[in-house]
Amino acid sequence: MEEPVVLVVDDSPTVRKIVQLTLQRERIHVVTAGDGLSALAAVADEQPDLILLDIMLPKMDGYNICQVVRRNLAYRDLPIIMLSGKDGLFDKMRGKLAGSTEYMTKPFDSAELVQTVRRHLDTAAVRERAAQRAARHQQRLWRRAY
Amino acid sequence: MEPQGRVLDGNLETLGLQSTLKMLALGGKTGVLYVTSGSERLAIRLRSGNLLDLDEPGVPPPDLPEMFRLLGYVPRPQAAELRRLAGSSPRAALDILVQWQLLPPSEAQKYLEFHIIQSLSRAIRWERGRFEFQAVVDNPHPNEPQPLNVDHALLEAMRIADEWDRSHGGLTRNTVARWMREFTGDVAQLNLSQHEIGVLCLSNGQFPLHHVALALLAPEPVVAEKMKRLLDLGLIEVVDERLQLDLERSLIDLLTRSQHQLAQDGRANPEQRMLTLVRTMGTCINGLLAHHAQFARGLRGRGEVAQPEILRYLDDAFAPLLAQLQRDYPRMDEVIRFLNGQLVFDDVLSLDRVVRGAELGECYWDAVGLLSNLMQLVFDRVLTDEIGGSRPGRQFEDLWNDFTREVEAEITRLTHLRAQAKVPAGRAAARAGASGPPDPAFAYDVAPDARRRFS
Repeated sequence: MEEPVVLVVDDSPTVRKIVQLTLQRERIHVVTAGDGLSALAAVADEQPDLILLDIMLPKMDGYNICQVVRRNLAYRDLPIIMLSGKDGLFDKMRGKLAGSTEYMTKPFDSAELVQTVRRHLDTAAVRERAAQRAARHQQRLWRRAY
Repeated sequence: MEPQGRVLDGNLETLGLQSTLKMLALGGKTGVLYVTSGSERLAIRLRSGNLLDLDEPGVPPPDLPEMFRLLGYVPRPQAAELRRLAGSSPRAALDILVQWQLLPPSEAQKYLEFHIIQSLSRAIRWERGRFEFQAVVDNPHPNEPQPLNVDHALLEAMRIADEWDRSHGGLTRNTVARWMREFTGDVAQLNLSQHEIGVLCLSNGQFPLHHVALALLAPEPVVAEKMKRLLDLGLIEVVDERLQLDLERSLIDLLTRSQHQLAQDGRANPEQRMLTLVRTMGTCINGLLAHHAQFARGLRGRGEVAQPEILRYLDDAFAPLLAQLQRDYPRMDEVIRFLNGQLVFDDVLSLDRVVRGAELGECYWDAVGLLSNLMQLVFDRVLTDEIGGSRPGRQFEDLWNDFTREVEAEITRLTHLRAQAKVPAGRAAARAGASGPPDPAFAYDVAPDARRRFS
């Protein structure tokens, strides 16, 4: 079975590496982006199954990214988990209004992160997307071979 | 393959896997045989009574690109490309290697056959469980592997299962080994066989024994024997996976907390930011010490160790490092100290009650310098002792380097802020003439550069 793909968007290389190490152990493929514009490019290129999104980002903040992604019908069901150091009700509400699926407060616990990501990856929509990607991948392989 | 319906099902107690497979082979059946025993599952694809493919749902597939890279079969850049293209599918990885002409089709076929036999050797020992055969309409694909004769596969699988029955020093097919952190001998003098060298290379990737066997196309009991010899020679050690997982989680959580703490107070003044750095690094060092009290090699496997013994161990290992650094930062003598296995740095945070002005800034600056050096020394010591130069060890080093780069970036920002703050102060002092004493900080830090600029 194809590995699910998670996009991690955070300006801190340490956080990106931490999430990558944690999720790779769970056999989840991780792609990363360090700013808002690279994040949007990565969404289009990698078609992730889930996005972990920081709020304070260079070039474009997490709320804006979330809104832009949600405007695309293809990503309406894409789980977006906001990862932020801000734990106020206002920030959580703003994340919800921007279209995030869940809000996690930093510093997060690795077990909690894995549990949350797994819960969202284990949905029918995500499974269907992974199956479509696997089929596309297989087609590419056959085309290369013959 | 399109499903046609269930043809046969039953219990393994009444009809074992071996008999079921032979019966399907004799009938020339085409379809999928699902076998479950407890939490273990197998899906075996048959075509005209021959074995075509085998899938083990829930079992992580072997990481062939990485194993082939470690064995030197595939260069690093191609291994990365292979991994990107094939994902986690060993079948796809083999197909691509054949397309790239790095592997002859006959060799790829051997890997697929070996994988089937290896999984069967495990499953034919299952005594309880259920099986279900579903007939399917077969649509053969031009790129599919050659089907494997059931009798041949069963014979090989039984031979491997019999060999496993002999003692292998507690090693199982899921045993994971890794390089010993320090080996002082000369490996070239040990007369290692080709298989032993292969096992040694793959031990650096921390793969389970059955994946190593697949990569080397060697039966699992043979790999277990080689592993045992390498263990006896002190070249590798067996990894306790549960301990390893706890250890890695503990380090990851510690770094998550430290990074979060570092990212606070972004807009505060330089002094507050220096204090944030001091707090971050001091807390990180204490976190590393607490982590090490739980996972230090010298304290492992001894059951519950008495607290005074743990503290003595930590004091012996880390107090000399602090003492050594305090020689370079004499202002921090007694201000930062080591007590009961923890670093005490609270006095730095309350220094503003006893020191004022430029001297306070210098004290904070010294604390930052000492703690950043100490943090690095403590981390190096902890990592070398706990996981050495193994693969996770290198991954953690990478992660740590990212974190320390963030700390260094913050220190560089502070250096600039301090310099900017001192230049106007220095100019003001120069305007005031020679009447007052020069600002020590200005003289100490900025003057050499300024002198160069104006000369």
